[in-house]
Amino acid sequence: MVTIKWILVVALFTLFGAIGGYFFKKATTHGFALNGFFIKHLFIGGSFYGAGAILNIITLNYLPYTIVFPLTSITYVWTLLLSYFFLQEIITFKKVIGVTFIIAGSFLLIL
Amino acid sequence: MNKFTRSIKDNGLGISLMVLAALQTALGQMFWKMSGGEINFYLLLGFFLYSLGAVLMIVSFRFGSLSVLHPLLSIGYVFALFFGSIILQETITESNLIGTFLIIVGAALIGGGDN
Repeated sequence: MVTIKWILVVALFTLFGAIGGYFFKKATTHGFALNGFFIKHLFIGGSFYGAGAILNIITLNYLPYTIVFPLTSITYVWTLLLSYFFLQEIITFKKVIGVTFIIAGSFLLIL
Repeated sequence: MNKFTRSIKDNGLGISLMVLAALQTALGQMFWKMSGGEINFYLLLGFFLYSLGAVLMIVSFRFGSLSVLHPLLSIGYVFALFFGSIILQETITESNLIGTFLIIVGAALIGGGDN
């Protein structure tokens, strides 16, 4: 039960980080003019990004850094999904393998 | 032009800015580490560089695909390992080096994988 809870927490904070990135990307759609569209998306993105960071820090109080650090790169799995479904970007085999390598590499960084 | 070079070219400015953003965040964290948890010049410099990294990341999103650019932020781990070993004299293991290599290969695949 405890393990399932932490898997959900990790899934959640990585998802928040990816949603933050998605709204940052949306914000820049029409350039960097300080209009309502830009500020609204920047604010939503910042809120998700910040919430993800806070959840990450809370998780660090309960799980070792050596586990939380590499797990953070799961964010990019969500990024691929969000890019595919909401930005109509193409998810190539190269991107999937690339993200897999990054996650595997992150785990090796803590050994 | 093949698919790989076209992807690098189309996302070129975004990729450059994202690598720069990763460098700033890694440097920012290094200065936080050097501050020793006290409020001093290093801590403030760390905050400045980390914020600069965040701004550069957002700017970079304008110039390429999200699915290419966001994962490239992980290049910051490679910079962090480099600074940790060169400047902070931290020990680097063999698996660290293999991990760095995997991240670089992964980043290259993503950078050239948009088409």
